Amino acid sequence: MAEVVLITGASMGFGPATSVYLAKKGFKVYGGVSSSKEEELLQTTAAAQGVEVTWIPMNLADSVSIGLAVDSIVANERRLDALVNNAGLLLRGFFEDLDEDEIQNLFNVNLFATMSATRAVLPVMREAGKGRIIVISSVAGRLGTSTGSIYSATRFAQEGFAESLYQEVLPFGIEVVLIEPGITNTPTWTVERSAGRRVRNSDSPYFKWYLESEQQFGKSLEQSRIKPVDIAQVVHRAIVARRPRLRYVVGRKARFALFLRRYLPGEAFNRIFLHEVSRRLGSIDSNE
Amino acid sequence: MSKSVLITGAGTGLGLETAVFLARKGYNVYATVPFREQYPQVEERAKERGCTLRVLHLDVTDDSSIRKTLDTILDQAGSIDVVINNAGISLRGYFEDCLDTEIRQVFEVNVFGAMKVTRRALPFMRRAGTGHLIYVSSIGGLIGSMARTAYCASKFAIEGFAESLSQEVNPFGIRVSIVEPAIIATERWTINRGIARNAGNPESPYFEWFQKEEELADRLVRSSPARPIHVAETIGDLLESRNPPLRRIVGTRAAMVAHLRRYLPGEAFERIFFSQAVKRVTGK
Repeated sequence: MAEVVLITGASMGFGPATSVYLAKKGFKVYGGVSSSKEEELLQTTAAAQGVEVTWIPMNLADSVSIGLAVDSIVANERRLDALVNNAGLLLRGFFEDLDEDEIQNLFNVNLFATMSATRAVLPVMREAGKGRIIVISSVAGRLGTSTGSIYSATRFAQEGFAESLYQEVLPFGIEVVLIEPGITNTPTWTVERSAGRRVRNSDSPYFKWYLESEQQFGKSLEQSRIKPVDIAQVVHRAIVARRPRLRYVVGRKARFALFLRRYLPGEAFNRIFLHEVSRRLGSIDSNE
Repeated sequence: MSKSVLITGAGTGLGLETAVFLARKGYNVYATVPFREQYPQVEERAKERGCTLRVLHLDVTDDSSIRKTLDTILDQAGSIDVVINNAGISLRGYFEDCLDTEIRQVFEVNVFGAMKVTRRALPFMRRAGTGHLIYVSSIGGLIGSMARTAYCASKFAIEGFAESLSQEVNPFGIRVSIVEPAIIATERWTINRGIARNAGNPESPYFEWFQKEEELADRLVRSSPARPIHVAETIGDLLESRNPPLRRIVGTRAAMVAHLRRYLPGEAFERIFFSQAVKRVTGK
């Protein structure tokens, strides 16, 4: 019998690539979607690759809806082997330019939906005496950067959650895995779609810096060599490995930054980074 | 003129100790508390220790209360030089034993509360071209641990937020520091340790582990040499430093564990330390 996987936010970010990849590897894949448009996108992607992905409605802001989705999968399949917490949004902007509702929305999708989906699958996995809970975080879950304060807060929170949960459920044979991709070019996380609504307000004291950061971000996206399928492969590895790692970093630049941060003495990394950022922002002001 | 300091959650524990310590050092300290019933205990402690604390009401979950209090301080002191985001609540319990509402409440205070205060304080600091924002996190903001899932998630969140923010506001002359205390015996531990409602339910699959974990944690706290005054002193040092570090751990054991994690190769730390933690509780 095929192993059953649920992927949340299956039409977002790495969702389509991961759904298709796992289906090709013989998994029975359920993809959580929140609208018929998303469902269509997922179906077209799967059909083009000649695989089947079963969509399931899921409102990420509503723990009841997430629970119902899990219940119906378990009722159909009598098992659920892995949960891939893929649903995630990006939010860029200097903290003072971001609004309360944008912050809440980001925590809802990135963190609280992860918690709700995890809560829903744990009883089934405990009963089975095995299971994998994959949390797709980001290198921003390990490193904070300007214009990423809220995004990093949600990703760091996922890291703290997953790392603690890892210890709680290990005795049941359930393994928790964090996946931390670097900047990746996807249709959902574009320069335009990830910006807070007030970031382009020219009255903001951060306005010029933001425009500059947007250019930088666009360049990083263009130059990124990470493809969604790279993340899909790592997700697959994390599901099938006999003894998975707690963390998988995806992307050379991301790995290099984390390496430097870890092994440069004391706070040298932070100091250099902070100095560099301040110098760059300062030079924007003096160009006026 | 002495620098004005706003501390949130100054009614008890680390907050009160820090308020008193800084007041004795000559800072103009505004000790804010979420409950008016806490006024007498703060004033009494200040009198005992021979210093002056200005006690004000501030509920970090309520934006209007934050604005009102900041306005009062500005009127009286003319500036807000330091904000110490200390208000925080705990939640002890395995994740499955914690209710969504309990987890949300932890985030309301520990994360969104600190963000709200930051949002209101920043414009004044930017205008002044100087300021210091301090976030009281926890060693649990660096290393996750069982039965503190939601609490650790909230402290990790503050770490990510503050680290990013430090880069955004540094060009304005505003400094950001994170203080990470080990678990320390305070009222937060003895009286108000925030045990999740369902954690004490014998039907829970985690019940016995949780009892054991609590016992171990108690023993750890009793044997820990870390005291509230150490947190206060660390914050004092940060305020006096010309170029303060982003992070400061309080407690030698906690610092050693964090150090091990950083320098043990690959995931050796996670394999050893986390499996030990599991084994101590479950025997597995």
